[in-house]
Amino acid sequence: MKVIILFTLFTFSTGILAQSKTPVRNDKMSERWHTLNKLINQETKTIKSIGRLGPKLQHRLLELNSERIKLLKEQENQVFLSSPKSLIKQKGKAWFFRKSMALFKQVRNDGHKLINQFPRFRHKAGIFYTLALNERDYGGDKKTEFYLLKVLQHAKKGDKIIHHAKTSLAEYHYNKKNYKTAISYYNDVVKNTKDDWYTKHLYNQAWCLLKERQYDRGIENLRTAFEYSKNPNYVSVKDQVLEAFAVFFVHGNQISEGISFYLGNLKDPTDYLISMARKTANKGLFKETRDIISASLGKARELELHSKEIDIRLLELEIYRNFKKFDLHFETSVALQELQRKKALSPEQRDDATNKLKSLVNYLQVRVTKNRKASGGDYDKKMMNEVISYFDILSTIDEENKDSYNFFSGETHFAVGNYKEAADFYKSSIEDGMNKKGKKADDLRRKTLNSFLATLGKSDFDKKQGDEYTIFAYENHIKFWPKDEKSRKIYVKLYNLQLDKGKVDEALVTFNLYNKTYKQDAEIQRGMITHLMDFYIKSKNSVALAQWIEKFEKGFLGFKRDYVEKALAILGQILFDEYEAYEKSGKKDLAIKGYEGLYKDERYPDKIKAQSAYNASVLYLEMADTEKSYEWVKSSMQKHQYSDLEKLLPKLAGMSERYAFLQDFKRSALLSKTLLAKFCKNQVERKSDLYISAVHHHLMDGDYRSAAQNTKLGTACGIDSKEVEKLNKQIIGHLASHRHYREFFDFYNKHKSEEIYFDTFSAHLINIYWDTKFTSNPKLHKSVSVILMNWKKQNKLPEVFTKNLEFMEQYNQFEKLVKGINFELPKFKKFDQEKFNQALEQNLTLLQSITKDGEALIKQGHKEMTLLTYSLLEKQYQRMAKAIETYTPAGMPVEFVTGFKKHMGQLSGNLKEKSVSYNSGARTVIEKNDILSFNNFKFIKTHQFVEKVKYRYPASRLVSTADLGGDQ
Amino acid sequence: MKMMFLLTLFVLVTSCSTHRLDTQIEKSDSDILSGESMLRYSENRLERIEKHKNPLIAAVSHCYQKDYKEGLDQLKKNLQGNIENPSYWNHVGTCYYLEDKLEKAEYYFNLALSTAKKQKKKFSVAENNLGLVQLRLRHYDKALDFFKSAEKSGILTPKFNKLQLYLQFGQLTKAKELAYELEGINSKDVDVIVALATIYMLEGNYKTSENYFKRIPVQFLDREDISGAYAIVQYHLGKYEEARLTLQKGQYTQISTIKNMRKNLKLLIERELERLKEEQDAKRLKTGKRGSRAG
Repeated sequence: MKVIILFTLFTFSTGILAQSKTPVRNDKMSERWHTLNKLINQETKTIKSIGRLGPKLQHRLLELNSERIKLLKEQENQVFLSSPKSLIKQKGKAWFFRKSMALFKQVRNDGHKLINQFPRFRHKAGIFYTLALNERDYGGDKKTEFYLLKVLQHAKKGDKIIHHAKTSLAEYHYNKKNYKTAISYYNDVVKNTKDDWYTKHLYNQAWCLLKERQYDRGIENLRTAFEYSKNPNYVSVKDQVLEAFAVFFVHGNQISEGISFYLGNLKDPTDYLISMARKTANKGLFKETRDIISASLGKARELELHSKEIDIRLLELEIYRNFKKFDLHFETSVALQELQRKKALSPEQRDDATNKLKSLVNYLQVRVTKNRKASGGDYDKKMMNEVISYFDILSTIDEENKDSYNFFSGETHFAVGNYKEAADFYKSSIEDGMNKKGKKADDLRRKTLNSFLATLGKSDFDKKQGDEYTIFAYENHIKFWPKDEKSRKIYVKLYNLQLDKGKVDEALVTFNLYNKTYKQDAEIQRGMITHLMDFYIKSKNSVALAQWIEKFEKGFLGFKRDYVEKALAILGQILFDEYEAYEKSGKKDLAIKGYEGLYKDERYPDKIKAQSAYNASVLYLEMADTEKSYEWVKSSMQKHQYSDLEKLLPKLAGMSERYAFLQDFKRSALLSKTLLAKFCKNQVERKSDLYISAVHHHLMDGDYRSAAQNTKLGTACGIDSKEVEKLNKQIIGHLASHRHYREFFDFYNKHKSEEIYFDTFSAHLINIYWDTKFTSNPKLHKSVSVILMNWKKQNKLPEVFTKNLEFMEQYNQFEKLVKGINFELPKFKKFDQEKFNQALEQNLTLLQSITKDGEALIKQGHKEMTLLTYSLLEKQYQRMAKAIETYTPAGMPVEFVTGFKKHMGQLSGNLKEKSVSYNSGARTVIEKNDILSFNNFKFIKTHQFVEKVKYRYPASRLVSTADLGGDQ
Repeated sequence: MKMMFLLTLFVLVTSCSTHRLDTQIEKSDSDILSGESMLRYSENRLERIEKHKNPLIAAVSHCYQKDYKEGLDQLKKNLQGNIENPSYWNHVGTCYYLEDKLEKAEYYFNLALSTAKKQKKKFSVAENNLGLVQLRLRHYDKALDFFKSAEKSGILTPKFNKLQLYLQFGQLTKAKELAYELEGINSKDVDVIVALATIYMLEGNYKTSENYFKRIPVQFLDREDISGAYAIVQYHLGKYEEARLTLQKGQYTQISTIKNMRKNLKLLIERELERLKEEQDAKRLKTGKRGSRAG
């Protein structure tokens, strides 16, 4: 619906435009117009309906048509005003008013006809008066006077129309500047004090009198008009009169009267006094003008009319300028500044003041600089100060343009070589115009900054201030014109200056803007950041360094890796300096706390965390806390990059070794294993050490399972096969030596198929075999025997051991044989010599035989079998000797028995000697060969008792450590 | 099945007891090894050593008092500056040896040796101690080799240990030779006297043996091994009642060999005492005398 309405309106308005080339009757006339028109039409119609008309009705028609002319002209004027200029140009103005003009002419003709038709008509003067007014209003005033004079000629005495005609004539002559004639008519007119327009006529006549220099009469007229205007029965011309007084008093040279009049008749006469002052000024009356102003100013102050006071001051400025009263002008300007400070000037006042002040200050500026040139560098300092003060006043009044005024102040100082002062004003200008937008503001800023920079180049500021100004100028330059060739050069200069001043945040703002605007200047920007990094390094700002390094690592500005690495190293050094100092002063716990803090601090890159964790680990290690050291070295390894870890590897391997030194074999092995696994496929230093540690230290810790597991890393990680072999052999030896038989056999089962370990396994198995053969561990002995015998079947046994086994077998047979011998001599009811001798010979032969076998066994040199054999032989000789010694022939005479015993005694004695010789022989062997065997006891005197009570000397519980400590 | 069998073996082998005999010598002039070993120091002497100016010796004194953790911790704290010190490693090894952790003891004694070797030094102390480890592992020949090598430096401890080893294996001639040599140096040392007493006992020279046993200070006579050996001597000298009392005074022991020996000896002594009693009873009956009231 709304659309339709709008469309309709549009159509309607375009229709008007389309038709506007031909003037149309505008129906938008006022209601009043229509009402009047209607009334005129109705009355005209009514009069015309009467038929033949008398002069009175025709006069009436004449008047109605005169009114119609007015309405018609109003209507035509509206059409004219709304017509396009092209049409006006084309048709001419008269064309638009042709109807009213036609009606005017018709009315004039009708008037003339009526007068001619009815020459004695008593209202003939009235017809002339109508025609006079029509002439004045529509006919170009050409015949106005003519018709008015006709009115006076034909009017009856006392007719009011005479007063009206004279008033019109006075006004006519006033307009035609015929002041004397006008005064003359007014003299008659103002006689009629009952005319409510009396005041107006007085006023009008006063002006005529003024023109005729009759100032006193004129002032008198005005005073009368002013007084009558107070009466509501009269038209008030008070305002016009008050305005006029100023002119009249001035022209009449009655200044003090004028001031008194205004002050005496008006509550607030300031406007009129101002007007009067202006007039005196125009007349060149400086003293009078100042009097008026003074009075006016006094009144304004008295009434606290702030705005009026300003107006007066503004007037003063104008006047003093014109009268070249510069001191007064300056005083007034200062006063104006004070007023502004109390309450702001209105926009109009501000514009007025600004223009006036600017005008003068420009003039003074030129004078100052011209002076300087003329005097070869000297200038009027007072004037100079005034100029600057004027700009200050302007800045107060026209605060919006304060930047401009400060710029101008700067320029003024610059022109006379006051560069420092100039710089201050330029700086203020920039500051004041900081938030302004638009081309004008931008142009001013550019001019100001250029001048500012020029100033800095010319003046010998102290460095601090010079730098401060330069920074200010540069900062604003890049701020307002970031993408600008001059700014492009400024970025680096400003940045360096800011950094030198320690203004890092500001330098970073500069850098960021440069980086954002000119990404292509990466090389320069790298240099800038390098400078920044140097600054951070110097100031030991680790947090900032870390943040930048993090950016570099993400590729910011394309810094090369070696630079990043160097930065990281420096960052580390800075971060660690403090804690290293703690370390040096022995406060390791504080140092550790620091490193741990760094590790946990999210701001730092992994490399620092890795190094921190490593340092903490090392310190814990120095404090012998391997558990914590290991925890931290693990954390360190998680954060370290592979290449860094590789560099650190020798130290880490050293740490592993140190764990073992600190008795923590488990962590030593774990660290070694971790490192070995990490570098499994690489050729790195101390790899073999790591491998050995990973295995051996688990073994030391009693963790055989882990040790065995880690042995697999040897081959997997490319450790030299000889190293692997050597370590495995050491493991075999260790397990056997420490009698870890379960682990030994487990390892044996895993490696028994590997030929390279056969000799090692067999050597230890043989040792175990002999060890368990002569001590109490039959089950172990049996299991070892099974393995060895199995090898024997496969002909895999070492030759020495095969021989030993053969000796063993021989000994067993020998022992079996010997133990089976029962050295018994036959018993008879009556001793049978022959049978006895046979039996004795058999036993001795048997003894000889086992002696031979035994001595053959002794010659083999196996220590245990030798001792056992010696012992067996010793015992057999003892047994034989005892058997012979204790034998008594039964049923024989005493002499025989005595002889027999004597004879047998010699034999048993020999046998005993032989037995003893075996004992001493064994002891000789024992001592000579330092044999440590429990079989040694078989050859001591108390052997039987020792065996009986199972006495063992507890040597292993009596032996002593050696420490070279204690009492020296 | 095989695993179970092996496990049984393992348990059997590792269950050996390794308690040392408690010999606390109060005065250094009665301790032939006084300047070489703190093993036989009395508690008083060890407590004094805790404040020794050498922190390593102070540390190891804790281990001799069976506070191994404290001793080892103190040693750990003293590692810095002692890595190249063979004595340091010897002390660590000693603590582990005393704690019966023979693998670690062996590791550190070897480390002591290799450290000394790098400095082109011989370190007999560690050799001696490696001998102890081997002895504990029942590798007697190896132990003897270490003692022989160690004694070349002139320290007495390896000789002392060698004496013990020879005695253990009945090499009485060599044992006696060493015992006399040591007695010549310090005739008050209880273990040297015991060794001589034992040698004579094993040789069957009980009277001489008894004389040596009588030289042993009374506070050591109840040591389990001494009381046992002395009782044997007394038994052989027919002093059955004295033998019984000596045996009775002997300290309780966990050492099975000594325990068994004392049990066996006690039976023999009791048997003899019974026999004597029976003989006396028979004699009394024969003479008609009544036993004294106090009898």
